[in-house]
Amino acid sequence: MKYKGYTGEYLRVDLTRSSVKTLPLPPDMARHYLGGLGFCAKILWDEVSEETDPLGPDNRLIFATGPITGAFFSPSGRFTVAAKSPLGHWGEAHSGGTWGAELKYAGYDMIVFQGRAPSPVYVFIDDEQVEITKADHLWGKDTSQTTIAIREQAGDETVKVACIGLGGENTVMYACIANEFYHVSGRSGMGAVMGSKNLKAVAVRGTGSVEPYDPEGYMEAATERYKKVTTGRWLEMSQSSLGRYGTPCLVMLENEIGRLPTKNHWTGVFDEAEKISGELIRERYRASRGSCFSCAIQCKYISRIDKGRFGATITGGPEYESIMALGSNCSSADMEAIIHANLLCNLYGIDTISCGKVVSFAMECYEKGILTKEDADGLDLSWGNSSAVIDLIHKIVRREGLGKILSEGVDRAAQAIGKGADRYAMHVKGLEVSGQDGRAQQSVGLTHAIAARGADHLTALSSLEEIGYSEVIEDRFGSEKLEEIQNLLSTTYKALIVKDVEDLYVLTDSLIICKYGTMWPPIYYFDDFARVIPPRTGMEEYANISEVRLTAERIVSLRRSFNIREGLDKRDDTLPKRFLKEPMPHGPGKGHVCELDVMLDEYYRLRDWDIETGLPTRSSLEHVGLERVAETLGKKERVVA
Amino acid sequence: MLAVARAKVKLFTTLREITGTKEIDLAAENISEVLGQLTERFGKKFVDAVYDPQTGELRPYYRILVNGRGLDPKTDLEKPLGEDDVIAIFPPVGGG
Repeated sequence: MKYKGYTGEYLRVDLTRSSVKTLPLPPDMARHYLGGLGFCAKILWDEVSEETDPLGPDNRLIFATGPITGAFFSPSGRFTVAAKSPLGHWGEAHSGGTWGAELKYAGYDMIVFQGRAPSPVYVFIDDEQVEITKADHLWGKDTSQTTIAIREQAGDETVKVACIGLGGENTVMYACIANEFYHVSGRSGMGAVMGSKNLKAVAVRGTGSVEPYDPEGYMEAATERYKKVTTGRWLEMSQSSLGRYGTPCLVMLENEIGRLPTKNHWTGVFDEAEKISGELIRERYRASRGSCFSCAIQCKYISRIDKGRFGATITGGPEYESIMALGSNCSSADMEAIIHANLLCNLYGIDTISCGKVVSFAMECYEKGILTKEDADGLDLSWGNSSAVIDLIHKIVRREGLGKILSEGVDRAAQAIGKGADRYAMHVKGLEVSGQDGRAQQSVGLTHAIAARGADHLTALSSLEEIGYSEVIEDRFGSEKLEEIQNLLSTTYKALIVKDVEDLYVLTDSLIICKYGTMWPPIYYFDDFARVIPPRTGMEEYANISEVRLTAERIVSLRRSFNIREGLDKRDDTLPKRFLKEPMPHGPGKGHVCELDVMLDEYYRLRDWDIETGLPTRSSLEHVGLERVAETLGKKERVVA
Repeated sequence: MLAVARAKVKLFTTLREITGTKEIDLAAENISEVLGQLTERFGKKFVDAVYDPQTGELRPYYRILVNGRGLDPKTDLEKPLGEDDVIAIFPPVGGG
C-alpha cells in the first residue's frame, strides 16, 4: 500500500460460499474516498444496483474504518456500517466504542460481507486468523448475552463484538447493530441486513498497529487538535456539559427553543421536560461516565435503576435522541420506563429513534380512532402510557400482532393500516424523523429533507445557530451573515450552512472522527483535516483545503447518485406534511411551518444540481471526478446536461 | 427611565449545581441587571462560573434565551425586558 495510516488490506467474506479473502486495499480508493463512509459509497455504487434486494444475498454489508480510526486522535473511536437499506435506498449507520480501532489493529481497514449463510454464523477475526463459525447456539440471544457468550468461548473478555439481537434476526426494518453492549450502529436498518445474511456477530481481536506516514508530524498535528478539545474556550463545553451530563443536557435546551419533539411531533414543547432532563438523570440515575476509544470528551454514561418496577436496570445512556423518542414524543415523562425501554432496544438491537417514532405514530392513530384497543391487541395506547411503550417493543421485535405492522416502520405501517394513517407517519424517505423540528429551527427541515438515508440529523445538522456559536459563524461565513444565520426561524443562508455541514460530516464519517469535536462543539473544520491527513497518510494533496473540500463533495455526490440510480429525486427530498402545513402550536416557533422550498432550491443551486428535479448535473459530477457515474446515470436519463 | 419587569430566570446543568437553584423570580430592567442580581445572590461561585476572569465578560457560549429566543451578549444585555419574560441561562451544552 503506497499510503500509510491504512492497514492496506480488507476482508471480503462470502457467506454463501463460506469463504474469506484478504484483499489489498486499492490505493486509488484511499486517495479519492479516504475511508469509512467514502469507501462504503464507492463499493455500494460499484457492487449494488437498483435490482438488488436489500434483504437478499446480493446486497453488501460493509464495516469500514478510516485512516484516523484508532490513531490517537481525539475522538476517533468510530466505524461506519453501510448497505442498501431495507427501505430500498442508501443506508448507513455510525457507531463509537472500541470495535473500529480493534479491526484496524487486527490488520483490516474494512470488511465487505456478501451472500447469505445457509444457517446462523458469526465471524471471528483474530489478527490474520478469520473463521466463519456456527452461531445456532447464539440465535435468539440478546446482544449482551451474545457478546458475553462469544467472549467466554474465546476465553478472552477483551474481544470486541458487534452483533444483532432479535430485531435483526427477525429483520425488523429498523434493527441496529450493537457493539460493546451499548454502542450502536443505529439508523436505517443495518441490523436487518445483517440478520438477512444469517450473520449474528462479528468478533474481533487485534494485536497489531498502524504506522503513520510521518510519525512526528502526525503526533504534532494530533496533539494540537487534542489541546483544542481540552484547553481554552472549548474546555468547559466538552467537559462540564458533555462530560458531566452527556447528550441529555440537550433536553431542556431543545424544550426552551421549542423543538423537543412531543406527541409524535405535534408540538416542540413538552410541559414535563424537567422529568426527563439530563439534570434529573444526573441527580438520580447516572452511575458512571463512559468513553469511546481515544476520546477526551467522554460523553457516554451508564445509568442505573436500583429498585422499584424497573429495579436492576443498568444501561448505556439513554442519549438525548432516545429520551426524546421514547419519552416526550410519546408524551411520557416516566424516566425509569424510558431508561428501561432504552435498555430493551439495545438488548433486542433496534434503533431507539425509529422505535419511539413508530410507537408515537401508533399512539396518535389511537387518539384519532384509526387504531382501536382491539387493533392494539388489548393495549391502551393513550399518550403517556409508558407500559404500552414497553409492551409494544416486546411485540415489535417478535413481530406479534400490531407489533408485526409496526416492525415495518411508520411508512409501511401507515400503508397497511390505511384510514388516513399516513398523515401521522413522520418520516422522510421511509426513515422516521430524528429529534428535531424544522418549524422551530428552519435549517433542520432542510437537513431532514436532503439526508440520503432519510430523516436524519447526523447528515447535516447545524449546531451553529442551535447552540449559538456566534464567533464560529462569523469565522466561517462572515459577520455580515451572522444575524440571519443566528435566527432559527429565518431561511436565509440556511442552505449555505447545511451544505457546508454536510461536506464537513462526510469527511468526519470517512476519516473517521466523532461529531463531538466537529459540531458539538464545532472545534474541527476543513483546515484541521488539511493539517492531519497528510502526515497520517502521506497524501500531500490534502494539505490543500480545496482538495479536502473536493473529496467531501465527491463522496456526497456519489452517495446522492446511489439514490438517484434507485429512482429517488426531488420528490423524495421533502418533509411530512405536519412540518410543511401545520403551524407549530407552542414555543418560540409558534405559528411557523418549515419553509422548505426556498431552502431546497438554494441547496440544489449550491450543489449544482437541477432545481426542477434534484438530479445531479453532468458538470457537478465531472467536477468531482465522477465522469463514469455521470455516464451510467446518463444512460438511465438520471443526470441533467 | 426603563420600567422594571417581573421575570422568571431558569438555570440549567452546572449552574444548577453551583447555585442549588432551578428557578428564581425577580424584577429587573434588563439582562445586565438580572446577572447583577444573580451575582449578588450567589456570589463568587456564580461569578467564577459565568464570567471570564481575564476579560470580565460572559464566558464563551453561555446561552441566554429570552422567551426561547437567543440573545447576543455583545449587543442585547441592556435591552429592556418585558413583563413576565422567561430567561433561560444555559452553560455550554451540546449533543445530538
